[in-house]
Amino acid sequence: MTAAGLAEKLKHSDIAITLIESEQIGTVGVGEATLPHIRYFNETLGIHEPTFMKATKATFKLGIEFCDWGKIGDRYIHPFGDFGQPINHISFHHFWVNARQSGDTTRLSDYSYPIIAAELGRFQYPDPDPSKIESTFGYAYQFDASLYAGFLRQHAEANGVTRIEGKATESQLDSETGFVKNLILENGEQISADLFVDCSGFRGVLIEQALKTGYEDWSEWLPCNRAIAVPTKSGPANLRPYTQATARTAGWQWRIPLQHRTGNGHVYWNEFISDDEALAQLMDNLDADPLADPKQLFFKTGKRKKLWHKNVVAIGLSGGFLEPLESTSIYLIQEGITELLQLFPDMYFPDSDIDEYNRRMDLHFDRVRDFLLLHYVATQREDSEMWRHFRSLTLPDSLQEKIDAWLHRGHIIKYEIGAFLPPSWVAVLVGQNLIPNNYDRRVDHLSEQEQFKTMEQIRKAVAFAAGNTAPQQDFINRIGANAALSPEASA
Amino acid sequence: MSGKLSSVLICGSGLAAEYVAAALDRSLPQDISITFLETPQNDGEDYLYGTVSTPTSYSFHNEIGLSEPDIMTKTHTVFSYGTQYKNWGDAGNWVLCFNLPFPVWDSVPFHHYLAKTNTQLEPLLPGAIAGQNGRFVHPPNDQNLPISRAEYGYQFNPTSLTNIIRKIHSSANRVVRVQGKVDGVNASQGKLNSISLANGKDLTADLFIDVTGMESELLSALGIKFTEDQNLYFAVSEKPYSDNSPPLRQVYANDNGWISDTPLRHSLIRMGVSSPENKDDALNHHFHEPSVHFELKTGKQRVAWVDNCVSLGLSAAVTDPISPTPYLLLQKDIERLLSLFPVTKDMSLEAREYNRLFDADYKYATIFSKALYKTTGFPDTPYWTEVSSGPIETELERKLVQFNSRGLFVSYDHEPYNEQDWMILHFGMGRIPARDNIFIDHLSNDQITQKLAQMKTSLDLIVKKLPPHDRYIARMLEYLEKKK
Repeated sequence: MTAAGLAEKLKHSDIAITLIESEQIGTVGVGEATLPHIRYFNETLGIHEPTFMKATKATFKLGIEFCDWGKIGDRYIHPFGDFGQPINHISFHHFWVNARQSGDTTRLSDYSYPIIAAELGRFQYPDPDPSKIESTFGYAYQFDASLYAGFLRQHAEANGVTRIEGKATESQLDSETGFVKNLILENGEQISADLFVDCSGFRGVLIEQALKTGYEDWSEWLPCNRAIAVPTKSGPANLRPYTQATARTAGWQWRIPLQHRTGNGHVYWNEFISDDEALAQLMDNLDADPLADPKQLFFKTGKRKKLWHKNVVAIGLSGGFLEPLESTSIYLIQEGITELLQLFPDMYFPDSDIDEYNRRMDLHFDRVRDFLLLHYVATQREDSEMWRHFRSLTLPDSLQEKIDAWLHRGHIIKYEIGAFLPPSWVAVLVGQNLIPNNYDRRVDHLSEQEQFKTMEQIRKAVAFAAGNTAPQQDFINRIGANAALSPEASA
Repeated sequence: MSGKLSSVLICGSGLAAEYVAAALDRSLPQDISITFLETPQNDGEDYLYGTVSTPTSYSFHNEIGLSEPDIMTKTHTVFSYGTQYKNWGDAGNWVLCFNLPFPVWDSVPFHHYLAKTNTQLEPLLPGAIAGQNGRFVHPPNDQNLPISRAEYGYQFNPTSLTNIIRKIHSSANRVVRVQGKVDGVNASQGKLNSISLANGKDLTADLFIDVTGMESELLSALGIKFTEDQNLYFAVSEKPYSDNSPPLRQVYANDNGWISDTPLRHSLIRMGVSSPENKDDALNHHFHEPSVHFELKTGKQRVAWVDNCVSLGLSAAVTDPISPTPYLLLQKDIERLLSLFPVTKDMSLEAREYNRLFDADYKYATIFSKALYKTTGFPDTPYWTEVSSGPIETELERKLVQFNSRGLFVSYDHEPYNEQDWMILHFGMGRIPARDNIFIDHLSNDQITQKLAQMKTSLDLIVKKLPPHDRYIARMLEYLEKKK
């Protein structure tokens, strides 16, 4: 992604980009689901959506379904979109809380077009008319990350990137500045550059092994530290336009439906479950036959103390990892690239640029961390040691204040910069049974009759629009994105 | 468990008091009683909110039930594209106007093309060009017309605005108005119990709203300290005015401060700010003996909401009226209160969140004003030395460093001023990024200059066709009169 992103923007410059890649290492297959931001990245690269979807066997994604998180048996979808529409400038969920207190039993989900469409297995592009309920969402993709990497590599090479097959083993530093001067490959070849982008994964060949930047360990908040991934044959015929994340006793299991197969995995905390048990739990809960042997992954959640240090910028797993619960891995890569492009250095590497980059990236990481942690702590589960652990955890102030404000009055402490805006927080909080005790007092300025009438109109509009939306498979076929109908299918 | 909040007491007078009374009346359910203790007027303090508003005032007024036709027909308010700064140190003369987001060409923000070709932004700003030509229209719906990108606020007399809100609002609402003078504020354990009036009556409520102005009578009774920033001398005079009033306020730097002229229909308001040591000199810049003049300290309350008392407007913060910041902060205070109006008598959570947002709004709005002074070439006097070379906040420094270095816009969450406001400010102040954006290095300057010249030509052409501001308003008033 970094090579493609930089190459696109620098294609008219005289800056040479070299990509050192090793076929031996491959792509870590945990980031197969994305956030809507990915569309902007693809658009910037001039990528044709159906071509990309064919090449990566992609499906559309309207959100994530979380199962068994609040209580065993619960399920809710965190959509890429709004719940209802504001009434008198007041967020819709306040009206829902009031109605619920008066005995109304409708779900908040019933007011969300992307949720109902997802539940029905439907998909269409957002309507450009902002007054329509069908406009109130965004979408992302579920794709094969290895195929996406290959697809982007072609793009990068077409834009002049020189690709070298090889594995970086060590590096040389400039004795005066401490900057990385050369990268030495396994075959002894030396590669020099002015700026190095470290995408070497958890190893952090440059950012850590060479520059000893240090790692902020966030295991205290996000203790899951292992994963097992296994692909299976495609599941039920109805291609689901959403990812699933099902809570388990010591972690959670993902299910990501692609066009040609389903990605599955179990993320867990090895303190409370052995690798063998974790594997067994995963295999027992697959809905189709495995297509390959399970692959084990080890990680420590957290981030580098500096994502940009001297002349090295760490992007992707070398910069940090926050587990794939909300599909933020690729999002954080994208933000890393975007911010690097904004602050692309000259030969002076001003401290102010490096400092600003790190400030921005720290904010992205911090905010994702709080949102992920919310899933674990907004729970009523006590059926295993892990869940009991989270129920007694002291939270970061930033998250505790958010939860308190929500429970007291349905208020979301919001920010502008970061992946998850208020509707995402509302989705998880309500989905995991944290219902506010009060609602915005301004709601009662409207009579209950007026409120219920407006709510009913929205609910009906959502149901009607979702009912008239095409099944995802039909839509994929219609736009020419079906991988099975293209030459790439046999690749 | 604390019960539901059921009563509010607004204490004070002036613009903040009328705004909040109207806003609460329009928003709160009928089971919350609202009492408005109208204290004697505050001797022109409201001029400290300034005489210009930002484009957000349109929707804000609508929300509190004040329509644009009401404002235009019942006061001498005029439209405003912004402020023209004159004799502004090395920045010279320039216009700070309001604009919709600038274009992004090939994923690169517009201002980088200007920086690369050393092109000024102002000639491409519809508000600046129309304003300097004394012309105005409401932004048309046709997005292809360059004038559709201009945004507008108002030039107003805060006293007239206060009076019209009071008039419209008091005739049909459930707010109980009580006239009186505060004789004592009764507090215990960090909480307000009641307000004693000079006539011996006591007023009490679940929530007290302090809009008593700079005195902050209620908040100060709770022992809250004011954090001071700057000492200033402030004076206002007004004279009749019959010319076509341009939709721009003008601010002129003088030796020991600055004066601003705000044209309204039939009058011109002159406001002056200087260091207190030079007040005699400051008075010389006025048309006649100022009707309002006093010394003041800018700054903010350490916290704006304590237990059951929240302060708004000048009671919470006094800021330099060099930009629309004081008015903008008042608007923000009211919007913040509405969105966090307490649900129960235990309002500690609301207070905490309100104070957090208040601090952020104050910080980001005031650094915008401070950025207006960060240049060289001002007179070598104590006032200008202090404002142009004094210490600056980290957040402002970061913004200046990144813009000066590479034209990068640094933003923070929910800033009151947006990216275009900052870009217009930076360019107006003569800031030039040291480095060009490398992503457009390959483009020839001629190519870019030609495109920008076309933009300028089409803007100039359309501005010539716009009606003079006063004629536009006269026609609008005729239309509204007929419609009645």
